Amino acid sequence: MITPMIFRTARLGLALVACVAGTVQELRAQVRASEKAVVSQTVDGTVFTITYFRPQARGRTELFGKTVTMGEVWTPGANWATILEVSRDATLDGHAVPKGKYSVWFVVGPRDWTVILDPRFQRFHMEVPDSTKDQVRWTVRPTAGPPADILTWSFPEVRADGVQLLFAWGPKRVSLNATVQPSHPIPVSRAAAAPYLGTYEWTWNDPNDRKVMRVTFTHDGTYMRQSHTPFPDWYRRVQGQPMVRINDDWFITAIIIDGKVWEMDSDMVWEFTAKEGKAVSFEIRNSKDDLIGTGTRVSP
Amino acid sequence: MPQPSRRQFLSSLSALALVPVLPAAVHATTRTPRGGPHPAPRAGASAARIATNAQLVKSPKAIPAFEQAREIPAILDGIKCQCGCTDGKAYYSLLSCFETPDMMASDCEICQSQARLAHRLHKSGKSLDEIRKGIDAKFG
Repeated sequence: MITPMIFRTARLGLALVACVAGTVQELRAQVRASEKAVVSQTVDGTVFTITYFRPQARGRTELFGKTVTMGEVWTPGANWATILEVSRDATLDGHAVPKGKYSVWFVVGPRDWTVILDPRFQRFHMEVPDSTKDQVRWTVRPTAGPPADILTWSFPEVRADGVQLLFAWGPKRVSLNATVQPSHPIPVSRAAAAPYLGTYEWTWNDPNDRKVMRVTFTHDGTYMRQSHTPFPDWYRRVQGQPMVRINDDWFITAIIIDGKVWEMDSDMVWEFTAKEGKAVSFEIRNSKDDLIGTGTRVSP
Repeated sequence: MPQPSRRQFLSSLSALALVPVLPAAVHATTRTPRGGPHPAPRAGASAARIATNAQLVKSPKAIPAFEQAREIPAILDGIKCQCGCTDGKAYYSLLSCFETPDMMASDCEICQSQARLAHRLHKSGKSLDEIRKGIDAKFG
C-alpha cells in the first residue's frame, strides 16, 4: 500500500525530472537575437565552411566606431566566435591556411583592418585570443557597400582555383580571396605524355560507329590533349580538351573556355593499357565504373 | 554599485557555457576526414554482416554491388569510404557501408560504384594499395 508520504515524494521526484527535461528542451529550441548560420562552398574538392551567428543592426547606425570600437579585436559574428573550416590546405589573400578549423577575428581600424585566424576555434566571442605564432594574420582594406542590416558571410564568386569570401555588415565589406591546390594539375612534361601520343580508333560501345581520336601535345608544350570533342555544337567556345592524369594510366578531360578551366571531373575516365612503354588501347568508364567506350591505337 | 554591461554578463557566462560544448568539440576533432588515410583491413574481416539479397528488396538495383562486395570483404575493409555519408558515423571502412543494420550502400550509388571499381581492379590482379589509389583518383 502506498502511503501518502511516499506518494508525495514520488510526485516531487517526477516534478523535478519534468523540470530538468523542460530546461533541456528550452535550451535546444531557443530564440536568439543573433541566430546561427552555416554557409559552405566547395571548389575542386576543397570545402570552405563558415559557421557563425548573425547579429542585426536593428537601427544602430554606427556599427564600426561605436558598437564595434576602433582597435577592438572582434569576431565577425556574435555569441560564439565565427569559425572558418578549410578541408584542405588553401591560401587566403596569399597567406597559407593549413587544413583545419579557425576562429575568425577582425581588428577594426579607421582605415585598415587586420584579419586573424586562430586555430583555437571553439571560443566565446568575449574570449579574445592572445597573439600566437599559430595564428594567420594579415591586413585588409574594407570597402563600402549598401547598408546590410544582418551580418552576412557569402561566396559571391567561385572560380576553378578558388572562391571569394565576403563579409558584409552595415556599410562595410571585407573580401577575402581564397585559392586552393589543384586536385590534378593540367601541365605535363613531354616525356610523361609521350607513351599516350598517337591516333586511336574508338567507339561508344557501338562497333558500327567507330571514330578517330588523336592525342597530341600542345604547341606551347604544356599539356596533352585529345582531338575529339564530344559535344562540338554545345559549347562553341571550348578551346581544347586537355587530358589530365589522375592515376598511373588514367586520364580525365578538362574543358577550357576562354582560357580558363570550366570543368574537370572524373565522370569519364580514360584508362589506358600500355605495352612496352606505349599505350595500345583504352577503356572509357563512367562514374559508376560502367564501360562506356573503348579505343585501340592505330598509329605507331 | 554599477550594473554589469551585457558583454560583461555574457563573458562571465562563457566558462559555464563551455561545459555543454565540450562533447561537440570532441566530436568535431574525431570526425572522419574525407579523403583521409585508408584503414588497415581487420583480421577476420568477412562478408557475414553484409546485407543479403533478401534484405535488399527495397533496393534491387543495389544487389549486384552487394554481391560483388560479398566476394571481397577484406579488400573493402581496407578502403576508406569517400561518399561523405559516413562522416561522423562509427563506420570503419567501405565494408561497413554494406553491413546491416544500416546497409547504407543500398541507397548510395557512390558506395556501390566504389565497390564495383574495387571488385574490377581486384579481379584484374591489382594490389590493395593500387585499388586504394584508384578509389582516391576517382572518388577522393
